Amino acid sequence: MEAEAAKYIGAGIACLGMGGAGIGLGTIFGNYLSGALRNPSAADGQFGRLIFGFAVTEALGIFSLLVALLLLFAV
Amino acid sequence: MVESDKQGSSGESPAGNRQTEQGGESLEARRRRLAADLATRGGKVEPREEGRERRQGYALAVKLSSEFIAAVLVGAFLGYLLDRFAGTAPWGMIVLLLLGFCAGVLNVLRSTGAVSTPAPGQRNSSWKAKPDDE
Repeated sequence: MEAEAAKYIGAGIACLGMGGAGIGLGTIFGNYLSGALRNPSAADGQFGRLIFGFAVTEALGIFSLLVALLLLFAV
Repeated sequence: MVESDKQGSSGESPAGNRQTEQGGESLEARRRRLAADLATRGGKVEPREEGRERRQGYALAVKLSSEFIAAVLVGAFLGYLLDRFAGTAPWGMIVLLLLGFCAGVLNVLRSTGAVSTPAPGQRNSSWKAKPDDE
């Protein structure tokens, strides 16, 4: 296999990690929404923690996107 | 309802004397019509308010995600340009993409109000101490 083709295939495989980040974000926001519907008065106080969890989860997806972009443009 | 109201007013306006004579009667009729109008419109207001609230939720979600994604994309693009023109092969994209991610999270926090936009004098406010102040 040529190195160019291996680069593109590797970038595509690295982007699969963003799907995992998407699953995690769905879990986070879905659980936040179900908790907020059970107790709406406590929902606004937890919004900072929601955004924190969103950032930590999305960081891993950004890492895989970073690997894919590095394979495409920098290697 | 509105058409009948316009017809009534246009029919009364040319005859000035009759208007003063029929003032009490037409006032009663108008008041009844207004009550009927308000009764029919009171039911219509509720769904529109609900729809507006839902639309505001969609607008908020689209705004937050687009702010986050825009910051990450701008970081990646600047890193690509830095790598291309300064020749620092992978490191410009790595550092600037992570900086773009941090800027995106900060944008989201700012637009939701969890972090206030820093004033020039005080830049050392941590966001965990913010809910106690409010």
